[in-house]
Amino acid sequence: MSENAKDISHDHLAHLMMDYASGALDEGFALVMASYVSLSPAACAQLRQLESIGGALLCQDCEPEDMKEDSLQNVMARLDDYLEQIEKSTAETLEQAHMNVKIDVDCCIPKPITQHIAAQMPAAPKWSRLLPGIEVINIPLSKSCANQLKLIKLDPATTTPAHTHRGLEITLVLDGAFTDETGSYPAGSILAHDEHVHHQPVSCPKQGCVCLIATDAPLRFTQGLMRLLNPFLK
Amino acid sequence: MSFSGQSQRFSLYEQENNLLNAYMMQKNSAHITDSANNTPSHEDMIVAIAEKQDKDSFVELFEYFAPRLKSFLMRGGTNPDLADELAQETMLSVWQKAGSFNPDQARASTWIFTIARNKRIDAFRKAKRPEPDIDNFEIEDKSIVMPDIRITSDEQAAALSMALKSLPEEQASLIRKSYFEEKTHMDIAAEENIPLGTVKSRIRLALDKLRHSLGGLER
Repeated sequence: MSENAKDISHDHLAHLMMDYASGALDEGFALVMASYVSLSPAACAQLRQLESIGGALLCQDCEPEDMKEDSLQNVMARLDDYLEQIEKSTAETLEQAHMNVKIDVDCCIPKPITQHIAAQMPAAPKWSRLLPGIEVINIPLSKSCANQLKLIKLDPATTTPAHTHRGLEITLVLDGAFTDETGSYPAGSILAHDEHVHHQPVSCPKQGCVCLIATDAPLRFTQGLMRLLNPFLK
Repeated sequence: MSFSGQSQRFSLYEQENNLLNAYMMQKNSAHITDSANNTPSHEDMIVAIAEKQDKDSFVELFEYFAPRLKSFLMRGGTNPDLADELAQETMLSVWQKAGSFNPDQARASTWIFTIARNKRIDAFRKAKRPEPDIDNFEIEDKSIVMPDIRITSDEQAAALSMALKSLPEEQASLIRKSYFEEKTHMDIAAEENIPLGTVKSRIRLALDKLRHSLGGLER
């Protein structure tokens, strides 16, 4: 990656990780960060550190507020409640449901994504063709979420349309690799591009590429006929 | 008579003295237990809940954490009734999920913070917070050294706490806004009318100090 783009991406990711730790991050971005942490022990360490700040703030910065008189009693009464057993069995069903999510790819899809798909997509997700060599699965998010999330599969040696970004685009490479003007990204890489990056990713000539991508604003195509689509992207 | 009276008085005195001694011994031993750190820590209490459904430990945890959780949630703008309810829900999850708590990986306060954070997200966004799956790291690249992800010792917790207290106000207030109010750095910049770059650089400075205080973790 060019030094500048690398620094910018690294900087975005550090802040995204803190927003993920604090709980502020929108669902789409949060799903990408959860997937990244699932793939990387180093990212997991970073997350733990940031969460420990929350723990410290809870203990030292929060002047205790009296609970209602019957609060403890209420909770004690519910400890052995059968409702909890039901909740637990729902959690277990969900745990199993995610294992039944089958996506037609040669790589592992991180558990946060398969869990989300199991809960949100009643029918088995199918790839749909976006352009020659490019297939996509749009992953539905909750209504309050302004992000978009998709899985993208590129055939080997596929050139994607040149584009820039109106907001932030986070890409997690799950399989294969891609190369663009800023560098080359094998599986496990994560990068965050903003409006300063114009790029045209090309997938690995041998393995192609599978990515998880979240955006908070539509892309802006910068070349050829694809530009005609820009007014329609919202 | 007088002899026996004397003896009675003596024995009363003796009794009192014994009681006092016993009290002192108890007090000393309690003190010794304290200083030897044998009183159960919050971490021990969660383990006791997991291992033997220990309700006494639960009550102690509740009394320490529930009022702080309520305060934490109220500082994020949650109304007192709902904050009370979410604090209760969080403590209920502490009971239910105690088995998944690993004292080698996190402090009780951090673990409980993450549960409360997720409860708040579930309640307000009607969406489950995506949680990472950290039990099955899939990357097989052995050149990646597994970093020490534990921030568990009392020393580390104390150092982090000191570092938080010594942050300049302009940095501390941004950290508090992030965690208490669940604001993204972009939201904070817009709300405070500070350029995003300034928000980010202040937060970066603060994080560097906090990380430094944890020593040895950043390798």
